[in-house]
Amino acid sequence: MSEIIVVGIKLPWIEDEANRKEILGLNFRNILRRVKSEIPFEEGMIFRTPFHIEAVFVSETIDQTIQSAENLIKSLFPALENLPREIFFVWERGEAIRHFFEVILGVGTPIPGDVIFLENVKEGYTQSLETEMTGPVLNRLFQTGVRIYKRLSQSDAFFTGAVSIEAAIAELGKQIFGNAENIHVALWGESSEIQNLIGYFRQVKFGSLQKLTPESEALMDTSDRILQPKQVDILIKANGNASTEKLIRMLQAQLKMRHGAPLLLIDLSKNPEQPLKNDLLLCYSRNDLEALIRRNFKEREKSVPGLLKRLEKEVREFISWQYSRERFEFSGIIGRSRKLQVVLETIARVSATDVTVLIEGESGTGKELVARAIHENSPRSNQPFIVVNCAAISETLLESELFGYVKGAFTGATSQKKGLFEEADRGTIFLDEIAEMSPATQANILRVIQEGEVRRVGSTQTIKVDVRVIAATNKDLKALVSEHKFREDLYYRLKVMQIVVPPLRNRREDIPDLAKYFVEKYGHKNAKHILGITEEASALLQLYPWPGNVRELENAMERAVVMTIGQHITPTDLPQEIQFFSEKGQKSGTPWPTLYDVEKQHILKTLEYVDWNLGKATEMLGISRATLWRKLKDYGIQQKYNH
Amino acid sequence: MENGILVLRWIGLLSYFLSFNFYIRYFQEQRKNLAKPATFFLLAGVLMQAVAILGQWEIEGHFPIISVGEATFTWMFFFGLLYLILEIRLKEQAFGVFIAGLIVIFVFVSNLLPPHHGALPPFFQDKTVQIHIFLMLFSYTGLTIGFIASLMYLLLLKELREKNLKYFYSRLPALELLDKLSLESIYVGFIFLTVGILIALSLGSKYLTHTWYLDVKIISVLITWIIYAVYLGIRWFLNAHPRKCAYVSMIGFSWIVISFLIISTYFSKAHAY
Repeated sequence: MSEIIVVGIKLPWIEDEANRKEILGLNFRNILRRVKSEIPFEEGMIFRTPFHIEAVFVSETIDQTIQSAENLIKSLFPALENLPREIFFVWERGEAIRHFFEVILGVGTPIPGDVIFLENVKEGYTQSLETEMTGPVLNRLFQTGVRIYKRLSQSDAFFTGAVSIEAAIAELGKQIFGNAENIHVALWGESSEIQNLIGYFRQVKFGSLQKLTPESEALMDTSDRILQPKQVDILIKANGNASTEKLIRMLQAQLKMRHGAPLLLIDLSKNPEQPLKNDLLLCYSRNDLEALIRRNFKEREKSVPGLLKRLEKEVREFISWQYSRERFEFSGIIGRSRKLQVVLETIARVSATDVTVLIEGESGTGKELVARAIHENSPRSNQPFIVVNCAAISETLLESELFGYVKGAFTGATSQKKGLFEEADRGTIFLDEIAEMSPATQANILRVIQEGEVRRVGSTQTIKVDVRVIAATNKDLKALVSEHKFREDLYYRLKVMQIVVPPLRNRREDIPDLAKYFVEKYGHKNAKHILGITEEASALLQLYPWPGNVRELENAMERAVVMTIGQHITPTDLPQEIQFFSEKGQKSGTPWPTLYDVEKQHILKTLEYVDWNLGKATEMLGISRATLWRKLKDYGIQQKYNH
Repeated sequence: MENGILVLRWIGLLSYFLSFNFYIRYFQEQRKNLAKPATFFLLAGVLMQAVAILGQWEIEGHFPIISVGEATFTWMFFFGLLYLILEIRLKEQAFGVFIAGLIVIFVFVSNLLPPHHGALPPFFQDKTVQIHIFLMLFSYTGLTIGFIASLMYLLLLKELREKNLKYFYSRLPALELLDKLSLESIYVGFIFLTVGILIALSLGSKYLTHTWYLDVKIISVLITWIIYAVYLGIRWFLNAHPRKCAYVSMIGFSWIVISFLIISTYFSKAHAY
């Protein structure tokens, strides 16, 4: 059973500056490459925060993964050999999941709740995703972490209260003056933190920022009156070099303008002083701000137990999902292969939006299922989902079906009729086999997508519709565009988001799950209690190239369920073309073996030759142990190896 | 039906009490999921008050504004309604604890005080008198909001000046918002108060004794007017610090309570309440 583990090192423990620089300066992509080749895992993700470098793995062989990770860490950071063991940490299973969520939230760090942790993890996840290290478990783990952060950051006490000087100034300002856009700030003097302050205040979108330079001080002198800054609400004195006399004059001028509103003076110099006694003047020093930060930090710490309780629920739910069958099912789409996971991730992302989607894939790959999954997981799920097979409807009828017609529009139009676009208003319309559409209909479809309007056949009036369009095709649309058989503008309008559903032969690891699902479905339908599929039958299913994809598999399993007389599906229950398909002699007319078939057979032959000694096999094949391990997993090859 | 109205008044009070509890917890714990039930129960209380008021109008033929208890009840209805509008407009629920607390106290008191029974006194049949009463109640509503905002202003300012940013700092809205709310509420309340008094002046000689203007209640209302005139005067013409104005607002509201509940009940001979 695959488990989640987290392995990492704590940066604050590394006191030696040179070592810290060495670690932080390492090329992250190089680390990713080495992790991929040297550590055995099913899924992996690496990220770096201000306080840790961590890797999250999903692995069936936890001990091997941990050992390999430790070895890699030691080789990457040789200086760590002499450092205390405590800087390494390993979390497993539920603790690993909890730790991951805590990292995203910044629990146990000097800056809890800071968004930098989420950003760091996101960066690491993105890089790991790009190098195809992640999979369904880590994808879900990351998305759950993001969801937790977004939810808690809006409501939990853990996220309230400033924990940095600039945030404390902003917080004070807002507590006195209200919305940030109404607050005007002037910064006086030079210091190393001025740029930080300016950057932060721009982020929180204060109304205006004025930097008072030495030149403006000079101008104030020569004009013999205060060339004060425009009206400010917060005046920040950055260092002790600013003249007290000038400051007093500036404050007096400002206070006169304020008609009873307070003025906040922040003195960040080493020896702060209150230059003026005035009821309207509130003076805060660096010490005062730090006291505020300490207080906020204590409040956040107090809220940690409550936060951890809320996290426990999330951890339990995640574990429950991880061990459930639903892990490999999403809105009726079944499979655990990486290629399918990419499709499911894309579905999850586009579902939340209204973008037009173009689904491409061979016949029988489940394009309609994908379209339905997008609709069911979208905000339009309670609205209609209309399916239109453009190839099944004649050209002349298609336009009237899609857009409706008015009475008398053509012979036989005895009354007006709503079109399918109108029926799908506020919902989704799925245009299957869109390549079969005539150019005229393509032009009308383009108008609907661009303008959100339809015109019934025979009418001059337009009707507004709000419809999400999902299109599908098993043809190469780009090629059709270059042959002028499909409109280029419509093609680009449709493929705002493109999903390519892989053929079944390219994701053979999904065949057992799909076959099992269909056997259960048709067993139930035919009132037959089928316990499973024999190994020999499974092997045949794996071998067959499935030109008809999932539809063909479904038909084959339905037939097998009907034909079987026992409680298991055997080879003789399968259709003849599957029974008699073999590696050695392919039936004439059957497809050419794929690279997948060839590679798998070569690996199997090599393993048999070296008597399943993995070490020797890696030498002969010229690949790393981790790579071989991964390929064995991908091809579903039973591991009878000797180490 | 009368018993029904009585039951509704007490259930309304219960609803306000529940609202107050949720507002306290929200104020203390700052958890947003506590704010929704607080508002819900406050709204329920206001609706129940509305039904009770309409019910009484149905039975008695007039709105409940004849006795001190009735007028307090109606005043709190306007107060709750105005606060709900402010809460939606400002998207701020920090006031709720003070508002709901005040409503609970005053509605409780109003439920205990005897309602008016019997025929309507002649002067109450005059629509102008009823307008005067409503204007005064609107005025007190605005001035009460001004009081709450001033109180919150002072609490927050104290923490800011002493740099003891512990409790109210993280719970109250911005200082300037509180000041602005106080000023605007008092301004509106003062306008209603002024118009209400002017109408009263025209009614006084019509319905009251010839020395009605020497009545304790009449004088106390004029004092109320003077207090708030001072508030606006020092604020607008002398640019007085909002802190000083807030103290004046506190004095003003205290005087309203004394005038409304105590003076009119126990000392006034000419004025009903």
